[in-house]
Amino acid sequence: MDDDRRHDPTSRLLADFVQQVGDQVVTPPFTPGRGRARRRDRPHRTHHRRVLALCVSVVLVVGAVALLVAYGPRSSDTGGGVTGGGVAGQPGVPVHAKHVRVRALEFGGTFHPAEIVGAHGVLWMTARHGNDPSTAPCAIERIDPARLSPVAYPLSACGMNIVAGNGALYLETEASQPGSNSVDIGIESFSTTTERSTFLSRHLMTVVGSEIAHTQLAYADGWLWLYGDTDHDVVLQISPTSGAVVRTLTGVPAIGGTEPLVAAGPGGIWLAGGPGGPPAPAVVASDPSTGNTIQALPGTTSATVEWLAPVNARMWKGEANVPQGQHRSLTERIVVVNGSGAFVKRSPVEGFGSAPVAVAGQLWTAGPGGSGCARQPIWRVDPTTLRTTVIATLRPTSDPCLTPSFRSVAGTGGALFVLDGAGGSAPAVLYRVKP
Amino acid sequence: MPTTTFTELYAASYARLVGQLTVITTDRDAAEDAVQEAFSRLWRQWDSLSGYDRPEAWLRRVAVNIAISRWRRIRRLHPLRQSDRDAGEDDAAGRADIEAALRRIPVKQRHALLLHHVVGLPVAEVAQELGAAEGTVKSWLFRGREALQRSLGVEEAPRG
Repeated sequence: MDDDRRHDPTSRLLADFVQQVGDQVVTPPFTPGRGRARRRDRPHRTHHRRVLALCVSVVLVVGAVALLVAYGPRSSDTGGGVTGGGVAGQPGVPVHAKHVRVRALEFGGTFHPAEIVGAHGVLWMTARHGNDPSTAPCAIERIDPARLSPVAYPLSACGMNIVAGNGALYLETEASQPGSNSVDIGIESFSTTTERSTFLSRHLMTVVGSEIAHTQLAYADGWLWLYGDTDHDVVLQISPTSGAVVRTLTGVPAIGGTEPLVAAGPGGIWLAGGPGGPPAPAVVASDPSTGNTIQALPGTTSATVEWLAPVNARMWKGEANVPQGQHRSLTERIVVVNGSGAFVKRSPVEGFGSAPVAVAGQLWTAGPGGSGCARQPIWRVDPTTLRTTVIATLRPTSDPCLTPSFRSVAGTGGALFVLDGAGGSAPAVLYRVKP
Repeated sequence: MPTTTFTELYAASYARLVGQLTVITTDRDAAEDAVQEAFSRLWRQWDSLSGYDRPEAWLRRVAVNIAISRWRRIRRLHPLRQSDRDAGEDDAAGRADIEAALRRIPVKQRHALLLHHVVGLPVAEVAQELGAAEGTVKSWLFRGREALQRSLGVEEAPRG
């Protein structure tokens, strides 16, 4: 580092931060072929609690698997089995439920669920059948909401960002082009009537920075909308039948963040940065009828937009704010705006979940919200007061603050579905919550 | 077992890379996962990569890609709550504040800040590494610095 930068406050700040973190790291022994060793050198009670929790979890999981093998019903298509009604406190079992019934379907072995979406009274789930992401085949699982029984249909490629519309499901596939910043984004469709998948089209995107495409897919007003976080952010309007690009919307403000949000809402397609995004929520609406009207809507606060949920012709935004220098003072609100982005109402400061879903005109959310990491609440949001009520608390399969959890929710068949633990090392669990 | 050279590289750069990756992930666990995975990939290709002038730069780049890829694919929760929980346990004073401040700026800006202000690459090399124009990188650095300073109340150094 040159002398100028050494005296620059940002350089000093970040260098000290890196040094501080590095000083606390204990380098684990490297063992080739064993993959990544799990490590955590944090002493104190947290470490002991985790070891104890791990041991208890291992015993419980082994016991559950043994019971499952001996007695439990299973699906030959997925290797999953129903584990509802187990020991309280065991993963997959609600630890507390008020006025709702909760049932769980636990997946183990080489079956790895990824995302869920509801369509036509059925729950659909993308999943990988195998441990190696680079070789294992993927499938769409049709899950009967009443019996929680899955049936698998093969996909030509593993995909993500699944959406439903037009009697079909759509998802993105990705293929990086070696030696360049170009990524092929494929759109694959799956007909929910013929139960066959079709590769629709391929869209080349140039991705700056990480060589990983930052994209999101939405279905609205009869079209597919593909957002690409490229050097110049872009939205493609795509025909859901032919896969052809009908219109390319440029001039889209960079929305940043680690997980771009794209939601079909009043007046068009709404975009926001999502968790980790810039503090000012850059919410944008485009007009699907003309396709070229992009209107930047002012943020109602300076908080980051955690999620977007269209409810009853209005857009509900989950917003989080961290005041300067007060890392313990995360505040969360739900803010409702109309199709023009004008403020309608906001909730009191309160906790709410990380992932929303509207069921029969009512909003539900799942995830820890401001409640910490030990348990995972399911929240019901009062449509009038916007106050949230915890209607069930589930024990997560693993620490929800360290692993992906409760980020995929769906509503169908009069129930709320929550997929927990997708992508983590512990078995994933699908919860059905019936009001 | 790993060769002496690989072992030396691992021992010398593991902790430093975890620290650097934490600037981007703002989560030490995620940073360690990514760095360990990057070393695993390096080991598998050690025969062809051992001659690199700067293997640590290769590792950093791969680890960043792994971390961002994982972020997207598994959709991590907003890690703000992790800091809430960890604060007071073992976070050094101010670290949680910096992590929170970093989370509030886009990943590309964090990446640029890391490469320029921590690794010490000049803007032209940062631009090359990120595949962006120099003007774009300058803009990311400016905005990133501004956001960090605003969040943390750090005063900008006089520039001449």
